[in-house]
Amino acid sequence: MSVREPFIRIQGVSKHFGEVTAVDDLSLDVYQGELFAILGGSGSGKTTLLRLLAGFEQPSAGRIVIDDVDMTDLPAFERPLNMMFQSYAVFPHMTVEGNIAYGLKKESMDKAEIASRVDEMLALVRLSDFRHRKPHQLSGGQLQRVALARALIKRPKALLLDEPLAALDKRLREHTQFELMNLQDELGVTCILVTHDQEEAMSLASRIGVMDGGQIVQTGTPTEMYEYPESRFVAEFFGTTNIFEGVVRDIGEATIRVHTDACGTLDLAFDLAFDMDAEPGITVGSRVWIAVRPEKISMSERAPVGGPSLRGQILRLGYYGNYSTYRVKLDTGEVLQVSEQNRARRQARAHDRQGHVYLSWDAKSAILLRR
Amino acid sequence: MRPKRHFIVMSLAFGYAFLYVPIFLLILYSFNDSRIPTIWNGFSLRWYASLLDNQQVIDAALLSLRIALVSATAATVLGTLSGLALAHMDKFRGRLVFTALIAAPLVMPEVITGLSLLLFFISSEAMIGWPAQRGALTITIAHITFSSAFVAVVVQSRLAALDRSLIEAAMDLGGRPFAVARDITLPLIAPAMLAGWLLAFTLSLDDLVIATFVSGPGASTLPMLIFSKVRLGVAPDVNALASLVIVIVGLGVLVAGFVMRRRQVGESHPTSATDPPHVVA
Repeated sequence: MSVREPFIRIQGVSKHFGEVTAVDDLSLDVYQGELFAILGGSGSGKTTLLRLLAGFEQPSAGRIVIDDVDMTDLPAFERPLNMMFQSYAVFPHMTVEGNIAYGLKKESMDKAEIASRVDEMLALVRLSDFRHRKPHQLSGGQLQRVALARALIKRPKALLLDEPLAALDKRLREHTQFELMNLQDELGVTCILVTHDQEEAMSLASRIGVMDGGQIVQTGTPTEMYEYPESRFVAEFFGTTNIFEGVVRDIGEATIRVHTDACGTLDLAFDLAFDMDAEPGITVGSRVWIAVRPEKISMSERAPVGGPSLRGQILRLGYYGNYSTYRVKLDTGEVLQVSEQNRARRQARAHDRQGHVYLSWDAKSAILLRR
Repeated sequence: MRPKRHFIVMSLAFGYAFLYVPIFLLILYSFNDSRIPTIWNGFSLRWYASLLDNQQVIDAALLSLRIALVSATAATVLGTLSGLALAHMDKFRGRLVFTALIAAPLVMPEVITGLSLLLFFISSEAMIGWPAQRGALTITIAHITFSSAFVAVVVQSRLAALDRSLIEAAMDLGGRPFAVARDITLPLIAPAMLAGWLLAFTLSLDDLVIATFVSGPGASTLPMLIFSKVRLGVAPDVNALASLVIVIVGLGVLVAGFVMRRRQVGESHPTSATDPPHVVA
C-alpha cells in the first residue's frame, strides 16, 4: 500500500478560530482503499480536520488535494466526499428511501437510475424492508445504516466518518464494526474516520494517525502504534502501560542498558524492526523513558531462574473474567500494572496476595522512548 | 398529604374560576332575552340574529379578518427570515444584541408601539406623501411589525433546537444553500411557522390599542367597534359578538393544538404493534 501514490494529500493545513489554533500546519497522506483513523482526545483538532476535509470549514493555510484535484477552495456541496455524522443527521421528515436518494436527486440523475441505485444500496445495508419507514421508527443501529447508505450512494472518493460507533451500545458496536469493515472491503472506498476511542480506531482502521495539539504525532498500523509507540503520549493513548524514567548507562551491540529509579538497571534488547537507527540521539547519559505493557509482564511466586526479576507484593486485583489485572508494588516503591489471562477456572486466585511475587519481561518487550 | 392535596385542588379551582367565570358569564348573558344585560329574562338567540342585520358589525368583522390574514402571513414571512438570519449568526459577536432587539417589541407597552407607529406614519406622509391616509393599510403594517417579532422568536427557538448537522449533511450530499433551505430547513421549521402564524393571527384579531392609534376614518376593526359600543353602555348584542369571537379563537387554538400534538405523538411513539420486530443482524 505504501508504494502507491497518496490519494488524499493534506499539505501544511492550519485552521485558526480567532486566537485558537485547532489544526497546526498538519500534513498527512492517505492512500486509496485505506481505512485511516484519526485518533485524538477532545480539543486535539481531529473534528476540525474532518470538517476541513468535508468542506464545512476553510483552512487558514495549506492545501487539500484529493485524487490530484485541489479541493481547498471547493464548497462542501461540490466535493466528491461524503460524511457520516456522529449524530447520523438522518433527515427526520423523509423516509429511509428518501434519505438515501437525497444525494442522487441533487445530482439531477434520472429517476430510474436513482431507483435502481437506491434498491442496490438498501439491499447492501439490509434495509429493504424498512424503505418506507420514517427515521423515528428505526433503532439506533438501523439509523446508522441509513446514514452510511446515504453517504455511500454517491460513490464518493472518500467516506468521512465522525465517531461512527460512539452512539451505539457495546454489543451493537462490535457487530457494526465488522459490518463496516466488510462493507469497506466490498466497496473499496477510502475511509477517514475520526474517533477518541482507541479501541474503535484499532479494530477498524488499517492505519492510524494520533493527533495532539492540532498535529499528527505518529502514524502507523494498529500494531505499530501499540507495540512501537514513539512517544509517551502515544504509548499512554493506546491501552495501559507502565512508564518509568531512566538514564542510559551503556549502549551495546544488541542491547542498551538503562538505569531507572523505579526498577533498577534494565537491559533492553533492540528489536529488528526498530533498531538504534530509528532512535537517533540516544547516547550514554541520555534521559529516556521505558514503557512496558501490563500483558508483557509475567508474574510468578518464585524468582525465575536465569534472568533478572523484580520483587513486589500484590496491592490490588481486578477480575474481568477473561483476564485479571494486578497492581504490584515493587520493593522500590514503584507500582506496576500487570495483566494475566485467566486460562484456568481457578486462576483468578492463583497469586497469593500476602507473599511476594516476582515480575519479569522479555528484554525485547520493553519500549524505549525518547519523548 | 391530605391537607396539601386539598389546598392544591382549591387553588386550581380558584385559579380556573378566576380565568373563566367572566368569560362564561359573558357567553351566558349573550343568550339573555332581556335588554338590560345584568337581568336574566329567559333564553333567546335574538342578539345573534340582530348581529346579522348589523352591517356595521359585519364590516368590522370582515376588516379584522382581512387585516389578520394579511398581517399574519406577512409577519410569518418576515419573522421566519429574521429567525433564520439570527440562527445563522452564531459566530457573530453582536448576536445577543440583535436577538434582544428582535424580542424587545414583545415586552414593549402597546401604547408606546402604537404612538411610535402613528408618529412614523404621520412623518412618512409629510415627507414622501405615503401613506396618503390612515386606515386598513396602516393597521396592517402596524400589525406586521409587532407580530413578526413573535414569529421570529418562535422560529428562532425551533431553529436553535435543530441539529445543525442536518443542514451540513444536506450540503455534504450536494445540496446548494437554496436547495438545502427548501428541502431540509423549511420542512423542519414548518410547525414553528404555523404556530407563529396562528399567534400573529390571534394577536392581530385581538389588538385594540395599536389599531386605535394608527387607524383613520372609516376603518374600525372588530375590537375597536366592540370597545366603542361598550363605551355607550353594555349592550347585549356585543355579548353575542364577543361570544362568537371566543368560539372562533377557541376553535383555532384547538386545531393548532391538535396539529402540534399529532406531530409530537408521531415523533415520540414510533413503533406500533404491526411493525415487524427490529432486526439487527
